[in-house]
Order: sequence, then C-alpha cells, then structure tokens
Amino acid sequence: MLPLSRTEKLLVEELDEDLVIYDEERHKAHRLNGTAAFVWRRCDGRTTVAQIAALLAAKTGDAVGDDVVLLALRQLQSASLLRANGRTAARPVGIPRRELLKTAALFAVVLPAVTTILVPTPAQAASPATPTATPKPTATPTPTPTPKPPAAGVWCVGVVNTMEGVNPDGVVGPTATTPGSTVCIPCPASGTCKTPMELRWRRGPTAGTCIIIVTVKPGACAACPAGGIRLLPPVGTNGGWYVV
Amino acid sequence: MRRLDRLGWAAGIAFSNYGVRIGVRTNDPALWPHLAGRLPPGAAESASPVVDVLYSVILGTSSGTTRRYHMVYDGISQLARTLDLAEAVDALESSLHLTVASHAENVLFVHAGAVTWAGRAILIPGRSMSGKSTLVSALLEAGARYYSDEYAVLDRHGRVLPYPRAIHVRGGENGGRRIRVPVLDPPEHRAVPVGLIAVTRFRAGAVWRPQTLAPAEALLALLSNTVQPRSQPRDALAVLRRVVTARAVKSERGDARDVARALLDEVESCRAPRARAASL
Repeated sequence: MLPLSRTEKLLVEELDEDLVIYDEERHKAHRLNGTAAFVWRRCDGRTTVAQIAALLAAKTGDAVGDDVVLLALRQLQSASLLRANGRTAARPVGIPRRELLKTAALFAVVLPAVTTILVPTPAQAASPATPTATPKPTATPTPTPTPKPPAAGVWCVGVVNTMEGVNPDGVVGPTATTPGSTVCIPCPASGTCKTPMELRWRRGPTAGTCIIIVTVKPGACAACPAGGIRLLPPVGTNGGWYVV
Repeated sequence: MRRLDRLGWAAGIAFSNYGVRIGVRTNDPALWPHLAGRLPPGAAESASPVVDVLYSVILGTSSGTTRRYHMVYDGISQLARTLDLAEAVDALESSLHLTVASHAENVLFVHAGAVTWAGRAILIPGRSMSGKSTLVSALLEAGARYYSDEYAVLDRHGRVLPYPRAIHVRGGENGGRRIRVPVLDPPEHRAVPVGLIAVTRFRAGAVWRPQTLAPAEALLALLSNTVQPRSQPRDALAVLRRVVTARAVKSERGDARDVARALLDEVESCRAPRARAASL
C-alpha cells in the first residue's frame, strides 16, 4: 500500500506540530494532531506504511507499529485527505482499539487524531434576532437587483415649487418634501439639468398620482448640497420617487 | 423586486460600513426613531445613493379593526411579516449586522463577545444562546472595557476592533425575550491584541474547569464561529493563526460572575511574564 495525500483545493496552516487543513471543495476544516500530520505529510505515493511507521518511530524515539499508521490513514481517508485512487488509497483496516491503546501506553506514542468541523455559512454563524424570529434566512444572501441611481455627486439641484394631488391617505407626494425644500434629482443622460422638472409620485399602482414641480437650477450637473433631499427614480412603471 | 419598487417609498437612508453599502427605504419615516442606535456601529452616511444591498420596510397601518402587517425585505427576500413593530425592527437590525459581517472588506467578523482588560482582549466565541452576552456583561461589571457583544471584528493583524452595539441579554440564562442593555462606556477606538480566548458554554451548575487548547484547536473553535470563512478562507486562516498565538481555554461554566473574575486573572497572568521581561 502506497498512500498518497490529496493536496488540491486544500489550505494548510501549520501550528506547532499540528496542522489545520481547510478543504475548499467541501468547506470543511480539519485539525490533525502531530501524529496524524506526520503521517499525512509522508503520504507521497512512494512510501509504504511500514516505512512511515519507521520514520515515526525514529522521530518519537519509540517503537511504532504499522497499526498506528493505519489508524491515521483511516482517519485521513474518512476526512477525504487521501487520494481516492484504488491503487494507492489506504483501505480501512479493522484495528482493535484496545490493541492500539496498549501500544500507546507502552511506548508513549500519541495516537493520531483528526478533528473535523463543517465551516458555517454566514447565516449559520449568526444569531437570530429573537428566539421566535419569523425570518427563514436562506443559506447565503441572494444578490438582488437594486435601483442603480447615478454616480456620487452627479445631481440636478432644485427647489420644490408646487405639490399637486393627494394620496388616498391624505399624504401629498413624498412626505419628506414640502414646497421650498431643496431636492436633488439624478442627472439625466444628457448631463445637463433643465427646468422645470416634473416628478410624479404614486403610492401604489392603483392609487392616485401626485405631482411635484421642481424648479431646477439649469446647467451642468453638480453635487447635492448639504441638507438637500435626494430623490431616486422609480424602477417600475408606476413606482413612486423615494428619498435617499 | 419590481412589485416592491412600485410601492410608494417615502424616505430612505444610505450608509456604508466596512466597505459595504446599504440602503434602507420605508413607506413611513416613523421608522427612523425606532432605528436610532440600531444601525451597525461605525456606519457612515453615504454620499452616494448607489447601494450593494437594499432593505425595504413597510410599516403596517391600523385603522378600526383592520391591522396590517409590518414587513421587512432584504432585496426580494422577506425577512419579517409581523404585527409587532419591535420584532420587525429586530429582524432588520439583525440582518443589517449580518450583511455587514458577511461582506465586510479587510476585516474578519467572528461571532464572539469581546472585552479588553489590561490592554488585551478576551474573546468569547460562541453561537446564540451559549450565554456569551451574560458573560460579557459580567466582565463589564468586573471592570473590563466593552468592545463587542455579538461580533468581534478582527483586523489583518489579528487585533480586535470595537463593534459596540447594545448588549442583548436574554431574560435569564436559559431563554426568554432579549433585553437591550445600553452601552454606557464607549470603547476606545483602537485595535487591541488578543490576550485570551475563552471557549465556553453555560450549563446550570457547571463548574469552571478550564483546559488549555492547542493553537490548532483554538483556531478550529474560532473558525466554526467565523461569519465569512467560505468566501475568504485564505484570509480567515491568516488572521486566525495570528489570533491563536494567545492562550486559549475551554470549559463549561455556571455563574458568569465567578468566571469573569477568573478570566481577568488569567489575562493578567498571561501578561505578567512579558511585562517582567520588558522590565529587565
């Protein structure tokens, strides 16, 4: 048997004698203690189990049987850290644990140990808002289309002149604006602001339309001044303007 | 998304935090007072209206016998549909923090409490309901300085940055609704090296018997509580290996006050040899 370690898509961190191996394919992290790490490093497809045992014995200064190496190989294989190649993979061998413990006790050999965790997704690592929280978060946040307003500082600056029309709930237009408010409207594609500019506001697809007339300072687009209320365009056909 | 966009939006805010640009829009500006102090710490109002993640909050109105649900959306995903406004705001707040933690640039968010003592940070990694907020509160009572309750923010050097959101302590160790405890002592805005990692979990009647963890074990404990390791595993490992140069201990715990004192003593004892060496 010529065991061969897997090296693809693995990130390896050495910490003292131990290894932490991150499996980018399976999103699992493994901690190999010194003995398991020693065995894994020598699985090069050319070294036999007996040779690895001899190397381990030379390192520890104690006799080490093949069974210790075989136990390590079994753990490494179940952690998918060995190549699943029929010729070289270590086939699990039934080793009485009692025998291994006896060996360990006699020769002070540290038994190989591989600890594995499944690396959490962001949602798994997070706390819920409350124990009875209603949201059922998906495993990973889904990228969603968002309105793409213009680049920073590219606005038409104006003053609300008139506001017409009343929504069914009695609210006139965007609630944040009143006649006289300074507002910033995304720069048109032409790059030039023209006045007057008419903005339509609709609370919902079936509700009445409100209109605000904004007197825009004509000319090239500019930065939104401090205190200016930024209004973004609707994405849908009937969407209302909203304030940013 | 179009159906959402068609709704009337009366107000909105845009802010950025750790490189993540977030927008919140609502049909009713009455939402804003409820969000006071609930935005991610350090969030800066954004001059640009372009956002990476857009939240939509619809406040339900009540008229006569008709009550309408408050609804919270992250993009097109519904986060909450509830008649309880506090619950809707909790869901929004929780998701805002998770969004920042998941997409933050140049830092690593670990689900952990963090306090500082004698110039070193104590990290308490753990998931929800592990009792870490109670332990953080006990450490503050014992004199430690508050850095974070839910997410510890680590810079590239493995140092802890403050992320001081209001502490959430549940009613009792074993559950109940959360109680928001305002943060009275704002942290210093500086990065602090980690002095101790305490992997612990509350169990009624348990005795604190700390066992030292090997650095690799500590790294695994932190990794299992890291928010974005899957997207940036190389960076996460690089940061965490710097963190685990600090001593790490593990034990179940009972009363938080007893453990708090023990943790502070532990940090001081870890620090002492270095301080002595410096004075020689």
